[in-house]
Amino acid sequence: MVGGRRRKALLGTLLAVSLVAAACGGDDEDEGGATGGETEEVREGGSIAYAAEQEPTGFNNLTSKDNLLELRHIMQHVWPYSYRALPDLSVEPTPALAGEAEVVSESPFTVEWKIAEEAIWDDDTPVSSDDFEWVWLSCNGKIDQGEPTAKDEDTGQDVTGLDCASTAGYDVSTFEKVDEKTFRLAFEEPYVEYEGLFGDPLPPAHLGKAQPGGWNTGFDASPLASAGPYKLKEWAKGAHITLERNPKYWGPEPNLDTIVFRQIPDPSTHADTLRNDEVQIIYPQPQVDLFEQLRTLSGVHSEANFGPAWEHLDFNFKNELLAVKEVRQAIAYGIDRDRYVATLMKPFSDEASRLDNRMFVTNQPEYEAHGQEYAKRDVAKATAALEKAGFVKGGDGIYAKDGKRASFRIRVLQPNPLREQLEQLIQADLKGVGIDVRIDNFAAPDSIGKIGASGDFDLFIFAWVGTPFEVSGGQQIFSSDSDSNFGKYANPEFDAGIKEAAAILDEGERADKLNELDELLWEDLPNIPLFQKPAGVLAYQDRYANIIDNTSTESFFWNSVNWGLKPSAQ
Amino acid sequence: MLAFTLRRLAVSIPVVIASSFIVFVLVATAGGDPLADLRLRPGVTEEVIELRRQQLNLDKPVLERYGIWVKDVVRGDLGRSFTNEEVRPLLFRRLGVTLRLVVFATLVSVLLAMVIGVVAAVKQYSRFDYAATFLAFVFFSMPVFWLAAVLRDVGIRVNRRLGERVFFVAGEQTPNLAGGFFTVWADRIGHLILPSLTLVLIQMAAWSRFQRASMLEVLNADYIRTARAKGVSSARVLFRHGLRNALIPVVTVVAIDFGLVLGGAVITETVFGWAGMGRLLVDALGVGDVNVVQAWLLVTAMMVVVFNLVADLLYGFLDPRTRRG
Repeated sequence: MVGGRRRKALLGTLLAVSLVAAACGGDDEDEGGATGGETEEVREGGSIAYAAEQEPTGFNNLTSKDNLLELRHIMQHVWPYSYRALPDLSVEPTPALAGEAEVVSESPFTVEWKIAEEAIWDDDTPVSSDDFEWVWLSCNGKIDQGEPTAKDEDTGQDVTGLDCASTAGYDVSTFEKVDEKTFRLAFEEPYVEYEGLFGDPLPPAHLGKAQPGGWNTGFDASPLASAGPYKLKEWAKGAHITLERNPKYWGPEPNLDTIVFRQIPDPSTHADTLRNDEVQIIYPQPQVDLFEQLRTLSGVHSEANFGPAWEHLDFNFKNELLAVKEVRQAIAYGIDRDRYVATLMKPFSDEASRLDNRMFVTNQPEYEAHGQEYAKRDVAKATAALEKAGFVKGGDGIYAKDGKRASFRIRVLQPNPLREQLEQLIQADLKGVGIDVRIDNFAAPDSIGKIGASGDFDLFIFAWVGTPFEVSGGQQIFSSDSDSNFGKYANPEFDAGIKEAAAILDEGERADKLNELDELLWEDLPNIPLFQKPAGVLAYQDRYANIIDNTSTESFFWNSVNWGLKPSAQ
Repeated sequence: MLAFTLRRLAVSIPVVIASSFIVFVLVATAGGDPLADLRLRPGVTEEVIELRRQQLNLDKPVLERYGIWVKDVVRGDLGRSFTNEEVRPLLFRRLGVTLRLVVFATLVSVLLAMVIGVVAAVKQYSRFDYAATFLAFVFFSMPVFWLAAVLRDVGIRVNRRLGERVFFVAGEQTPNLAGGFFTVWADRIGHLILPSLTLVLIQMAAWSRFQRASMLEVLNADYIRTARAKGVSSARVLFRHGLRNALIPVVTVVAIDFGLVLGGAVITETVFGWAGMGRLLVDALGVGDVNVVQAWLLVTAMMVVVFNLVADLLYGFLDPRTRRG
C-alpha cells in the first residue's frame, strides 16, 4: 500500500512561529534506521499527556489564522496528509496515499497522487480527490474566486475570500481529477518540491463546504471528522485537547487509548509538570540548566538532538558601517564560533559543531563546509580588514572612520538564556578586536518577526528552522525582494542563481547549485551561521516505550501509533 | 442607601467610558502591526494578509473601530478575538477560572490576616508579634514567581515522599479524570492548594500589617479606655468596640485589592498553568487583540467599581456615622 521511502528531503510545513529556511536533500538510497529500529513490546491501552505551550485557535492548520506548530502536532493524528518526515530526515508517503507521488510527464511537468483505496473519514465517506482539490482551490492564490465560499456567522453575508497559509506550489499548477482516488497537478514550470504539497493535514471537504464559515472558520470548534489514527474526544478550552482512537482508521492501530495535549503556557514549568507526572512527555526549548535538571530526574528519559534549526548572526545592511564588507569580515574573523559551540552546545551533545553552510546542515550528505576562512578567531585578520577599509583605532580602543565608531547594537528576544550568553561572548570577542557591541534586547509583545521586519537592529541573533524547501528557504532569507531578508542584503547574482536552482530537477545538480550559492554568501556575508541547535529537549516518563525524536516539523509525534506503556509499567 | 449606591455607579460610568477609549487607542495604535508575523511566513500572499486585515477591521481608522466596538458593546456583543473566538464566552470562562482561584485565596487570606493582625496588636511586642512581623515582611517582599516556584517544588517533593500525588502544579483539574464526586473534588482541591497558598501568603502578609496597625490605633483610642473603665468585658471591648472599628480601613484595602485581583493574578496563573484573566490580558496584549483587551478592561473596571462600592457599603455598616453623613 505504502511505497518505499527515499532519502530525499525533510518534509515540513509552514509554522506560525517558525522562520523557515533551508533544509535537507539527499540521494535516492533507502537507508535503514530511519524509524529507530525495531519497536519495543508495549501494553495495549493507556494514555499520555503532552505539555503544549500554545492552544490552537481552530483546527484548519492550512489557514493563516490557525497555522501553528502545536496544531500541526495534533492534526497529524486526525486528518490525512501526503508525506511525513522520518528521524533521519528522509520522507515516506503516509497511509493516506497508495504510494509515492509520481512524475507522469515532464512537459508539462505533471505529478500524480493516488489515494489509498481503504482511506475513509470516520463518517464512512471515502477520502477522495475532492478533499485534495478543496485544498488546491483554497490555496491556489485566487483568493476571491467570484463565488461565495461561506456565510459570515455574524452578518449572514457571503464570504468570498479564502485564507490560506501558503499558496506555494498550488499557485503555479492546475488540478486534474482523474478519478475518486487519483488526481494530478500540472505545473507551469518544473516544480521540484512537489512532495511538500498537501503536506499539512487536510480537512474533510464534504463537511467543510457545508459548514458555516467554510474553509476559513468552519473548523474553529471541531475537526468535524477524522481520517487519522486518532479523533477529537474533547476540547476543554484553555486546559486541554484529548484525542482518542479512531476505530475507522485503516492504517496501523495505535496502542494508546488517548493522547492529551495539555495547555501549559509557561515552558519553564514543564519540567516540574513532568516531574510530578501530570504530563508524561515534554519538549521545552533547549537550555543547558534545564537539560541537566531533566537528566537527573529518576524515571525520566531525556535527550537533545541537532536538527535543521540553526543560529546565526545577522547584519543590517542599512547600517552604513555594516554595509562595508570589510567590517562584516572583521566581525566574522573576530568571533570564535568554536568556543560558542563548546560553551553552549556541547553540554547537550558531543556531536555539536560549527555550522559552515546556510543551505544545508551538518547531518545532511549535501553539506559542504564553506566557512573555513572564518573557522578560527583571528584578531590580526580582523583588524587588518578594518584598517583596509580606512578605520583607525581610537584612544578608547575602538576603531572609527570619519568620526563614526565601530559600535553596534546587538539584539535577541528575551527570555533566552542561551542567546543572551551568546551575545555576551560575541561582545567580549569583538571588544578584543576593537569593535564595540552594545546589548539591547527586546521582549514580548515584540517578536523576532516584528523587530526583523522593522530593521530595528544592527546585529541580530535568532534561528531559522529548516523545511524541505531549500530553494524557497534560500529565496526567503536572502533574495533581495523577500520580506524575511531582514538585513536587506541584495545581490543580483544570488537572486538569479536561486531562481536557476528552483528549476533544476536533478537533486544532485540542485544541491551543487545551492552549495555554489552558499559560497557566494560566504563572500558577501549577509549573516554568519553559528551552529545548529536542538529544536527542543525531548523528555518523557521512561515507563513509555517507542518514543523517538524527530527534528523535523513532524516532531517526536511522528510514530505515536507505536507508543505505549512497557509491560512492566505500573 | 439606594441613592448613594446609584450615585456612585453613575459617577463610575464616565470613568469606564474614558478608560475604554484611552485603552482602545493605546492598544490599537501602539501595539505594532498585529499581522507582522503573518507577513513573514513564506507563502502567505498579500491578498490573504489583506483579507485578514479586513476581517479584523484593521483597514479602518481607529476612531471608526472604536465606534464599531461601542455600538456592539451596547448591544451586549463584545466582538470576536483575532482568532475569531467570541469574546464574551471567552471572557466569562477566564473570569470563572480566576474567581475559583482568588475567591478561596482571598477568604482564607482575610481570615488569617484578621486573626494574626488582631493577636499581634493585642500582644504587641510579644514573640508572636515579632514572628508575625518577620514573616509578613518576608512574604511581602518575596517575588511571587519565586514563592510559587518554591511551593511547587515543595509540593512535588511531598508527593514523592508520600508516593501519591496530593498536590498538583499544572492547571485546574486532571483531564479526563474517571471517578466519582469525591475523586473529582479531591482532584480540584489538589490543584487549588498551591496556587491559592501562593496568593494567600502574599496577601495575608500585607493585610495582617494593615489589621495590626489599625487595631493598635483603635485599642489606644479614648472610647476603648472608656469602655474598659465602665467594666465592659475584655472580649466585648476587643471584638465589638475594637475589631469592628479596626476593620474599616482593612475592608477598604481588601475590597480594592480583590477588585484588582479579579483582573488576574498574572504570575500565579502563569506559573501554575491556570488560564485565567491575567493570562488572557497578557496574551491579548502580545498580539494587540484590542477586542479582548477592551473586554478585559470593562470587566476589571466594573469589578473595581463594584468592590469599591461594596467597601463603601461595608464602611457604612461598620461605622453607622458614615451612613448618616
